[in-house]
Amino acid sequence: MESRDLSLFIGQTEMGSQIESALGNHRLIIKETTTAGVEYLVDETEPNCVVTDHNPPAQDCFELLDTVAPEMPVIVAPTDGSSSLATRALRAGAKTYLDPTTLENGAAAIAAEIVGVEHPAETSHDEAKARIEEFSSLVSHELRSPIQKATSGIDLAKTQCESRYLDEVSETLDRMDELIDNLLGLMDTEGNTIDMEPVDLSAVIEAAWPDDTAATLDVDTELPSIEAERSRLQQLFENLFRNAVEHGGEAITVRVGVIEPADGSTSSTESIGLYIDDDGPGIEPDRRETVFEYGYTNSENGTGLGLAIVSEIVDTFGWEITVTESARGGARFEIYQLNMI
Amino acid sequence: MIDTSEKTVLIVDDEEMVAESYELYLQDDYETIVELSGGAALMELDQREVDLVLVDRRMPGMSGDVVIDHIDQWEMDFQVIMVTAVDPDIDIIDMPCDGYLTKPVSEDELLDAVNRAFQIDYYEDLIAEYNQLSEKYEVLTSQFSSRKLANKDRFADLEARMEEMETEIAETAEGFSDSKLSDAFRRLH
Repeated sequence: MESRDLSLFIGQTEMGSQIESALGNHRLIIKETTTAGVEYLVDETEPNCVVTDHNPPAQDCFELLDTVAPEMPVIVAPTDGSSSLATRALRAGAKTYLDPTTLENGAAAIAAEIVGVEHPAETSHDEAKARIEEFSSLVSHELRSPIQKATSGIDLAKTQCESRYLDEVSETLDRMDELIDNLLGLMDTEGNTIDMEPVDLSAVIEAAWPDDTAATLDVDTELPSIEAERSRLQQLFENLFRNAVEHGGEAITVRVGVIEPADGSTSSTESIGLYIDDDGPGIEPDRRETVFEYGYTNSENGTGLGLAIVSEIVDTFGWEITVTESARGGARFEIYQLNMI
Repeated sequence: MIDTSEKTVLIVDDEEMVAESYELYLQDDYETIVELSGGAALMELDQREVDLVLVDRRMPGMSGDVVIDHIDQWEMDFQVIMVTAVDPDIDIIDMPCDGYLTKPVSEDELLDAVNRAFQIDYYEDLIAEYNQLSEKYEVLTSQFSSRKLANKDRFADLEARMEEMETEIAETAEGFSDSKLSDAFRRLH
């Protein structure tokens, strides 16, 4: 941990201290001269990156770049910079050139650069996450607001006239709303790290079951807790339930339970998976491979995203999902590799 | 129980068609007023009494957030439901509102949220009244012997009212459409 967050700064102690406080938990070794910095590099733990001033003869970035291993990232941050120095430093092998005098808070900018070098994956992940959140918010507002307006208009129009077309438009709007929910859910699945914790399966299943259906849910009386992220697990069940009701209609019964080992042992620690099945029309064997693909749907009202999102979530959790035929002739989804508690 | 016909809901949304549809959904059960901006809503609140404000979060000019901040600062005593097209974020924890709906809002969702907000308000009133009676009961039972109190008609009325209220509180908590909310209130009770 210590070597991972260790950097070397060659330059004035005052600037070094400012960078150090901007870095927070990262450790920064400060050396006033290039000679002292090179000596440190030879004798001590290798830092993750070196930041150097360029103010010869005390600090000479070219001398440093000649000495350090080519894979060592060097950030050149001169107190008296120029475009020609920037060009020469980058040509000599500097990873980044940053002129702190041109920035409002030079020390903070250098600290951010150090973090970016030390944790490139985290930085790019954070940036990607921020972009996805921004986009989600935009999609959410820019699409849901007009859907609300159109829905409101349809409901008001229904008070003035009767038309089957109004009902059809209502249904289309409902479908668009569902599509937006799915898209936003998908962005959430792709854009964030997961936070696994023990989750009460029964509670999640109850919350995921749609309120507006007459279909029946039959859940095993004793379901275990499992390691998962609650919100995504709920979305997984919501999508599987919606899929069952969309294809099987309001008369179907959906069952959820634990797949026990073949020897009939009932110990929860030996349970091997979960099943979600129904007595609907089922899925043809030749279509079972493709149901998890984006855009696949054989339902007039399907978006082709629901089961693809289920598959994404299962992958994110490190589980496996298969689809087969239930004993009652409907579809049966089986989820394996989950950690039951 | 709650007499909803006497309740007034102020609907605030810059989209006239959306505001009118909310009015349509609610008009059979509630008195409604519509305002198309945050500023106009605050002026309305200054002039007449309302029981619930249904406010759009993103509006040009004064946003729903600013409207509910004013309501909070003015310490106005009514329920507030925020309606928004954006999925709720962690910031709603600090938001002084009693409900949060995500657009598009259906008639059932809107009615359910408004009914629930009034039910919670009613429940809170019951609890406050019960606590008052309970305080008086404690004072009287520590001051007088049970034999003396047994002869007092007004003490018997107090006991009867408390018993009545206990039943009413339990029934109100049971009546919440959301079973999780019922469970939570049952635990509190």
